[in-house]
Amino acid sequence: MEEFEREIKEFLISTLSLEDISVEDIVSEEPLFDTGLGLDSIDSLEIGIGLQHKYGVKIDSNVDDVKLHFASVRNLAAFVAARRSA
Amino acid sequence: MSVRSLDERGASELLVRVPENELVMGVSHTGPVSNEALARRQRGVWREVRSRPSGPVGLVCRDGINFSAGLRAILGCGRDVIIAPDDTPAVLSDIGDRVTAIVADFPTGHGHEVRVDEGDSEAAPDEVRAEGSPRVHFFTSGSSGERKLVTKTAAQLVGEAKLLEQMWGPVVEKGLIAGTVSHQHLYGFLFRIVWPAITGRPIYGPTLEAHRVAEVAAREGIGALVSCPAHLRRLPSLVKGGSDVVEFSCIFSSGGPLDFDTALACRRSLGSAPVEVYGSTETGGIAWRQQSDSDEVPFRPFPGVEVRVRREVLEINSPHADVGVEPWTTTADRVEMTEDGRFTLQGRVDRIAKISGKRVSLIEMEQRLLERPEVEEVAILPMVDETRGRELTAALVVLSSHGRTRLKQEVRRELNDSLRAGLRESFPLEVIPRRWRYLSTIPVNTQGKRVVSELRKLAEQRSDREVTGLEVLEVCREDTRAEFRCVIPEDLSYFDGHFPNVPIVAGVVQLAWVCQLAKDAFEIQVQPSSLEGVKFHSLLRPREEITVVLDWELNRRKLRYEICRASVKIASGRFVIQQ
Repeated sequence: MEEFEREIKEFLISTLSLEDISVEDIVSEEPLFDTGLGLDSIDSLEIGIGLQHKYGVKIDSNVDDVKLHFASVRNLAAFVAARRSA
Repeated sequence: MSVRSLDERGASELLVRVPENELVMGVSHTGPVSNEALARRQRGVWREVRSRPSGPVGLVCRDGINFSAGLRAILGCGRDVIIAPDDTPAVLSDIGDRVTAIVADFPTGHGHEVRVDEGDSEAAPDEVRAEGSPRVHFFTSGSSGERKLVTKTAAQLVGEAKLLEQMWGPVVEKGLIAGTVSHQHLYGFLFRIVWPAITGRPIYGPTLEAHRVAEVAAREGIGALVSCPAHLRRLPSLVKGGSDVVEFSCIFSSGGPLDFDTALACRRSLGSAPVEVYGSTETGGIAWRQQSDSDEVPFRPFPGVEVRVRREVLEINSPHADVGVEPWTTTADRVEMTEDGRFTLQGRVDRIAKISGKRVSLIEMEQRLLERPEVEEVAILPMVDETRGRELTAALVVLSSHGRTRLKQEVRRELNDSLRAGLRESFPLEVIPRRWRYLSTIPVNTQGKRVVSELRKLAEQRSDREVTGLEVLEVCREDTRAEFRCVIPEDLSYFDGHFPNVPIVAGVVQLAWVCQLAKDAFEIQVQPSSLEGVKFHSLLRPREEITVVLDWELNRRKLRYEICRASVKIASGRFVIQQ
């Protein structure tokens, strides 16, 4: 799982062209939005599109608890991993 | 006294006539220049221009004395003058298309060039007199978008210069009028060329670089210094380090707001608090103030300039404003009027950006950041991340010493995050800067103004290490010189096998860095194959802090580089640049 969290971090850095941030700088539990990485609504949208592209995981904001799944790298990795194997 | 009462003919005559005497009209690189010598240069240009097809004439000179000779010659031919805003090839070719001749004191490469002759031989002397009612055209600086042509009559220019003499003539008793801002823009043009021309005050011809002010002032005696906030911010500390006592009777500042700290520092170490002139190319001078003891000094309109406020925004009615402008002109500044008819500036109306659908006042964001102890200067730029196609803001920051210490102790992300966190209370996340560039100065043009396109270049260079393998901490860029303060990261792939247990940076890697930095700074392609005089003086190891200095010698088409660690030279050499 740690390996996959690392992959998700790489995915975030490249999808959002984050600057001055390396995989090592992202803590798996830190919040992605507001505080922590400080991502915003547009980033969230792009992450959604990116996940579908890369992992074939579709997010339905009516059904999925987006806020929970996008809360941290840890949550996001768990969500993508679970959905992929489903 | 109404400035409008000055007729065109009289104004032209005042400008064109050069008294035939031995008095010194100015000092150039080569020494003093007399009125007679100026008149000779003027006549030389006058004869040449008269022989050219009719139409407006361009003017671009590096020395103010030659500029004065050229201006007075062209007006004496009754021709309109177009003043080049700078001497870059793009500008010269643009001007070249609009004129039948370009008067210059250096090779412009332009087919219709008329060179100012500094020699002292002459055939039959003619008397140059005013002719017709020629006008002078300026380009606005382009700091907020497209360049625009602004037109002034001789009466307007002389009228405004007379006002300067009336107000500050008595203060500037002796000494040269010198400037750190270019005479090719209205502000420098009025203060450094027209005012001296109609009063016989001597000038210092070349535009001074800030670091040369003290030396020239001590040697030649400067009475009035024509400058801008960006240059004045650096001057007091530059002067303090030197052995020369530097005092000016009068310092002028224009081109942007002058902070009170700088005004105080100038008063303490340069002899007087700067006179701040508020105005623009379109409007001419509007008002002035001098922050001697307090930062709450309101601006006082110049005699003859009417001001009023509509919806918080300043409007003016001025004899100095662009020809053809409606009697009342709306400025881009919000003001608050005081009861006695003076006003305080409350910020620009414009500079509101829309980032991903959210409106943001860039000025407000800059002010918030300036409140931080880490930040000394800042510019916020709206831009587009091309790879993602999303709008975002970038922050160009000059760190205070406290900020620099933090940047050394922490990783960049921590500093970025801390500055971002401070903005979260006042701004939506979407508009908070994503890109942070820490620079040693925020570059300004010869007018001391920030040019958006230049800032954008800096913001577009990636800050992180992928590009060069170097961590660039600070960039200091001037026209043909760039300095990069960098740290060599520990984990460079270059170190693998080079050598086991004793990692050093190979020479070829150093050269690759220089090539990349040169490309970033000057947009020039340099090839390691075009090297000359390469020397590697000392070894370079991971985690060391270095300075890379690039000097671009345009004429010789060479790029000199030097890599230093503290004061130790590590490597040096030259690249030959192919066209």
